[in-house]
Amino acid sequence: MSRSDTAPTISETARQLRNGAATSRSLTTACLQRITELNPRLNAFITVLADRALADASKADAELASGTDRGPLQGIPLSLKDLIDLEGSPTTAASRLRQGHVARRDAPIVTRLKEAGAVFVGKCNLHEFAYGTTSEDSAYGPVRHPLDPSRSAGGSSGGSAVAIATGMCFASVGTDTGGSIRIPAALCGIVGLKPGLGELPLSGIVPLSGSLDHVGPMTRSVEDTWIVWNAMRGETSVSRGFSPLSLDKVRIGVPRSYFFDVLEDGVRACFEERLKHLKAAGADVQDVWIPHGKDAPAIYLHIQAPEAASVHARSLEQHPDAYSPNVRWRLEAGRYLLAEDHVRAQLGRRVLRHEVDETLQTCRALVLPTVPITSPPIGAVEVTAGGRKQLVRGLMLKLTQLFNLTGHPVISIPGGVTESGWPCGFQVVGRRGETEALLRIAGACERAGR
Amino acid sequence: MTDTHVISDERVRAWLESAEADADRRGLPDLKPVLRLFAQATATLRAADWNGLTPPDDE
Repeated sequence: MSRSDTAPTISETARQLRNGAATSRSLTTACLQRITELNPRLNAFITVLADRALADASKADAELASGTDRGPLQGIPLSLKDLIDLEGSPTTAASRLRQGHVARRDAPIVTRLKEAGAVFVGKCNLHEFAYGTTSEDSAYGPVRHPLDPSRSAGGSSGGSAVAIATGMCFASVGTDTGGSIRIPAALCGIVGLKPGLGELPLSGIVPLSGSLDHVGPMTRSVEDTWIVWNAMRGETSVSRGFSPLSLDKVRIGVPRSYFFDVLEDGVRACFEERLKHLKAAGADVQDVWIPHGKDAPAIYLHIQAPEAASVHARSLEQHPDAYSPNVRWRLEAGRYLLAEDHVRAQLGRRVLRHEVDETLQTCRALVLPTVPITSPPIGAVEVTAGGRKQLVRGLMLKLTQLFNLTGHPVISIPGGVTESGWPCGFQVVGRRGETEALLRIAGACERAGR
Repeated sequence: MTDTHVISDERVRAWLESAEADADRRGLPDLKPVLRLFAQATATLRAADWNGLTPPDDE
């Protein structure tokens, strides 16, 4: 399936673009060919921008030839989750409600990526309005896993993950309200970063839950994540290069209690194997405890559901049947929650943020699996994990949603493959305000796992 | 979390009954399983031992 282990990274390709071994037009043509070949089966893209991408690629080639160098993203084919505005293109949010919408201007993060020279090949499929973890409820049909089209690619940024894993583009931009970048990244074997809360602007992006939404890059390597993240911040002078940290004597915390209670056997084995690599690289790996981590799902729901219901209140009144049923019921249910419980949850959120901050004073980073299970069948409501049936949605969010509440930067990197051949994710959580340091630690974890 | 779990908090049970009745009144029976899941989460939220604590200084 996946070309993510063998396909070139942005950093490698940027060198080829400058030594004449490749052109942006040839890279873009190759990506468009992959889309033509694979998209009918995998449904990763809603909109393909072939003519526009080829024109932008030719412009990037001409600029490089004339000595105008915008940095490592110049001429690199990227995609956008289709709830991010790209001027002149539809922003569907994978919903029938958005039919006819055309973005009048670029989202600020798109403007920054354009300034860095990125070439956009298309807009990727997602779970409708990003309100789901499987990318199966979409007005454009479900996103399908490259290894087995009957399985979910994860979500909600599922199309972006599939596009990267199969070589349809080099990187994508996703959004993450409870894990929507990291979950599909884990299930498809790529890298996904949820930066710190508020670190990147959300203007021009269809909201789900205003206080929990994040936007971030999805790529094939931590270094590529660093490159795209810098461009999204408007930081183009990345000539200093990316340097992973040495893990020697670096303390890494593992929050086992609650978070490891239910793990598929293969996921647990992959994680423990990865820990061995970190220890072999000199890391001081210690178990840590987040006392109220178990309360995260209840706290998350009482913040996320009312916020999403608020965004969609008018549409739910006017066009309720235009939503996918599962998305509609979750939005409707959010309208019944009480304000007093929303306020309780706000206090719980502060408690959790404090506890994660305190834990990260005892170690440089936390590590844990990204998703407790491997890719579930499309349409499954429950799966068996930990010896009993569990709801897919609850499991998919279980290890990720805490850090949307607390705002800490988190990255999911490939964490190995189970004996059955399914990719697992390995999350690395950094201190608030220290995304750059997180990426350097994650780069070391990635290197240790090779 | 399944909808067979018993909700011990009487106020949450009352909220759920009211919400389910409203879903029936609106002709939205498919909403009821989601409301039951939400009720479980509300009961968990209200039972948390940090309720009533002074907010931590975390900014």
